[in-house]
Amino acid sequence: MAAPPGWPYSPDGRFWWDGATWQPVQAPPPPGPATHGPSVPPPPGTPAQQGLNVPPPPWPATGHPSAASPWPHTPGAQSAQQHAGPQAPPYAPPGTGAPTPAPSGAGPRPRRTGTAVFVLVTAGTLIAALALGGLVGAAAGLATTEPVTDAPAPSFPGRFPMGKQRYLPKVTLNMVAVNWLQAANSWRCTRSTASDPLTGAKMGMICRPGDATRLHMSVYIWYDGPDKVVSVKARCDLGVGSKPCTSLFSMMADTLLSPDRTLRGQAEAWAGKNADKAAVTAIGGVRLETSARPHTMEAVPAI
Amino acid sequence: MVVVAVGLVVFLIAGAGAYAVARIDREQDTKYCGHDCVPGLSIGTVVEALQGQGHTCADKRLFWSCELRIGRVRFEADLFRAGNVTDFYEYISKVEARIINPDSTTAAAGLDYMSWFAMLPHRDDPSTVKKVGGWLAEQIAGDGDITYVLDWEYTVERNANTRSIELTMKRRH
Repeated sequence: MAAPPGWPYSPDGRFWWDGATWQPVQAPPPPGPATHGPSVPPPPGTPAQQGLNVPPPPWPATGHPSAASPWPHTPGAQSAQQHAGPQAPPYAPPGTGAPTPAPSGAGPRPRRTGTAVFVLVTAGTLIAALALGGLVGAAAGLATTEPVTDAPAPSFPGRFPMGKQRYLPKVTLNMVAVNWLQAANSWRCTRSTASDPLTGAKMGMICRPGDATRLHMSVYIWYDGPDKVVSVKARCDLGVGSKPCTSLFSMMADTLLSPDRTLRGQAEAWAGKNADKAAVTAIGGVRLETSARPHTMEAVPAI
Repeated sequence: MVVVAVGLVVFLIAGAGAYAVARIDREQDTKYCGHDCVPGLSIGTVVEALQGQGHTCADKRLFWSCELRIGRVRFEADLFRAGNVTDFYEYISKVEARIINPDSTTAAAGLDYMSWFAMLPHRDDPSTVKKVGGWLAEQIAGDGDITYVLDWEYTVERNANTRSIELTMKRRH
């Protein structure tokens, strides 16, 4: 079959390029209207069906030569043919020993392969370095560090309650029971081995007047030792506003603050003023609290 | 060559990071009590510290109980051992600190008392200690509440019947 106008021919004129394969040139059909349909080309890649006289196409059947061909233009008649119509790959007649062109896309492949290998090697190296570094670092950290299992206790804040605050400062059992109550006022005191459930004091002492008021006045002293007085509590049931009760509370405050000459007068004055009502104050580390019913005054350490 | 250099840098960075993480984890190791206790601080150390301040402590098997009474005010702390069904560990899993008969004159001492226990798990973190202390001050002055600080649960409850205020600190689950 003859090539349509504008399609390139091989140099020997035996084949023409149909855009995909080289087709053999056949004798032109007789003039007149065509009586048969277009010829159907044989399936590519089956030389047996193409006939012995038909050389196999020198170019792969796939792809468009004009887009995929890497070959440069050739001068001469071939160049003229290519300028006249669609470009065709260089023609190589069968049996000439001409080198078969490489398939389209074969040119850039080595460069792409090299890039891929580089990326793979780099990524692998980084991952390996990350994992190895992590393992080595973690192992070193665990091996060189001992778990803290016995750290020291943190320091205590300034107002944290301490054991020495449990006792009335500078107050002794003798000071209260002997010097004030027994010697000066002829009171009688009795020891108790029972502990105080309220303050936890280990020992107690109750003192009462030696006269008829013994049933209406009393002083309780709770302590852990002779110089560890926990609390002192005076009770007076002679009536709110009675002079003996006011005097008892004033003298008690004066005694407890007696180590400090400045504060003892202040404490005595406060007790005399507040003996008949509920009030509370802290003087010199001693917390004084009065109550009208029951009529009492209690002294404990101020925190 | 470039790949080797970059790999070396990555190796060093990864190693340094892993070393730091492993070191911190090791120092904070609480595996000896199942991640359920105050890290690194044995219960005996805390008890000795309290005894040094004049508090009286007694071993109640499940917990150590320490107390100090000043006048009518009682400061009590129960330090619970970490443990399971069969074993107990000498570390603190829970603290119950209470103040019985507090009044207006004991507010400052009461706050310092509870703050000391509350800071034990975070003793090396001043900002967290400050945060816990601020929350405690609000609750002691108020009616109490519950909060969570870094996996620890804090509860402050005021009980009118027993005239007490109590802080419970335990690991959050």
